[in-house]
Amino acid sequence: VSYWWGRKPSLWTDRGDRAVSGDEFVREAYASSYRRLVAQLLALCGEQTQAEDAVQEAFVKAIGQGDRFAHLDNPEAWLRTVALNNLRNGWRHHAVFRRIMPKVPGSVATLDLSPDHVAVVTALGAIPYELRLVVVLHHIADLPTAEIAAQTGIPEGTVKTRLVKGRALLATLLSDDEEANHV
Amino acid sequence: MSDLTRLDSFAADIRTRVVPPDFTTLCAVSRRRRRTAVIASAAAAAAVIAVAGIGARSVYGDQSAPIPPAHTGATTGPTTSAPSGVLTAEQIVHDPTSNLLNFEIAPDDQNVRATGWRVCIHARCAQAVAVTRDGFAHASYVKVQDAYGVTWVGGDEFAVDHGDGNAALVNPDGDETPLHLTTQPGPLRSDETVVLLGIGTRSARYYGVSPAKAVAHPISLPAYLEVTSLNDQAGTLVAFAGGHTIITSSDRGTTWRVPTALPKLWLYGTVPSGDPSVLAVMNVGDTATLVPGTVRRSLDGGVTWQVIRSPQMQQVVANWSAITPEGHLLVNIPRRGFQGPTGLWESDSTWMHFHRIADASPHPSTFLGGFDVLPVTSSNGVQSLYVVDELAFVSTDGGRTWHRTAVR
Repeated sequence: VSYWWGRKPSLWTDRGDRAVSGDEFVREAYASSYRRLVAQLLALCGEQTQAEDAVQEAFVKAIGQGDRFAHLDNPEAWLRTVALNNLRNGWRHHAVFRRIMPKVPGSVATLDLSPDHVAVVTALGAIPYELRLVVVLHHIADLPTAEIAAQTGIPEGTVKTRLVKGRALLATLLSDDEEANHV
Repeated sequence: MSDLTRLDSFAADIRTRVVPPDFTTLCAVSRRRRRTAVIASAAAAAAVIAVAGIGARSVYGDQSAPIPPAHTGATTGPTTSAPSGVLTAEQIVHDPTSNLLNFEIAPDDQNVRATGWRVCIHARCAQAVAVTRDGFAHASYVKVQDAYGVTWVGGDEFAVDHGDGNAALVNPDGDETPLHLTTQPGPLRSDETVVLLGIGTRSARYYGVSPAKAVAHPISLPAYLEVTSLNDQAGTLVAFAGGHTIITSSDRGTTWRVPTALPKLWLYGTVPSGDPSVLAVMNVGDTATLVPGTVRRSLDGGVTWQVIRSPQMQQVVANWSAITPEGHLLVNIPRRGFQGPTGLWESDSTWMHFHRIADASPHPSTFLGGFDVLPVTSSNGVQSLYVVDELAFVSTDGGRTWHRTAVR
């Protein structure tokens, strides 16, 4: 289900009618978007801890933005972009940051993935990052190709090409196979 | 099932089961960061002022009161009055208030061992590692950030994770050789040992460490699977990934077998094996949870796994287990106040029938917790070390008899 195309959730459409503080607005965004963003980033990076850390960092940044966050056109897209940047920049590896800055809580509970979902993560991990990004944004985040192009800065034609290639690879890797996979 | 259906199912499952932390916690992190930023700015400003002040003093002369001489108290011998930051590594290890954090032992020579210690004085803590080749008749000492990160890597060498992105090899002669950490993943080579470096940090990874070359490289793992534990079980690499699914490699990490039909595991751990032909995992619990005693055994290097549920091992809390060189399963059930069997039990070859061979513990305080048993397997058999606080007990006959052994 797309939250941004065709219809927007009430969280975003209501905000013009109510006086909502920055923190309260981020809290609502947290309640509605956290799980969705973690699922998207987990599909991208394959690590629950990394995905949750990146998303939590994005929300910490959003809290720091105060009212400015509440006036964004597309807060979830903003959060996703920040979280993706966190993932891509490898902020977690910055020794100084790690030592000085208070840490986000991280994963509350480790998910036990079923073997089938482990196979999905494995297959996604076997796809090159640029193809995987497009596949995840289109098939898990439900973004249309034009929006993916806008959010990632990639030409829409390239997005479509990558989508076709990524999808073909995924179909091959996730073909029903009851035997053990060698990776 | 199509690939898109599986993708949807995966995303839906994650969305349903992810537990967001309390939002107020994130708000607190944000507030603390703002404070940290303010303090950092103030510190930077103070540093600028101090530099300016020093410059002024050098021009106009120092008019302030004379600075008293630095305290030069004795630094020999253990003390609890000195700040932890000025203690030497040896003082940290031998301080009577130090806590034992880690115990490592060479599989073929129990006199080659290393222990990790932490002492906290006035809320400031310091950690150090002691390394010996003669059962602590003599030892060398190294200060570390995290005393959990000590691993035997061969001979009398131990890898020490300094906890700041650096690691070193130390030996009982006091030699400390920096470990060169490369980034290129590869399979485990024959002269390498599996070592987890970066414990407690977000960049923790499993490395293959070559003590001869003082080089470490990440062990190649299946792409984008979160591996939570990795063990070299008699030549077969056994790991838990994506939660608790077992993956195995019989070619030291070149290829990995990801079973698709293995049921989800819960609170499982690998069982140290003294028999290269037998691999096993069992639900070890978290030493507080009562779980049914289920063991999975593989006799073909991890290709297939057989579930073994012995009626005798149902509803027990086992705190450690090991496979003997004869392929039998040793299970230790501590006294924790539960009804049911306790003690050290050994199975027959089917692992269905167990007989009790010893009391659960060589020390009456073990049920309080303390350090878990460290089963060490080697070509000589199973050496079971039981360590409680700063007391350690060793057994070289599969747990039938125990005797005290030194830890520092």
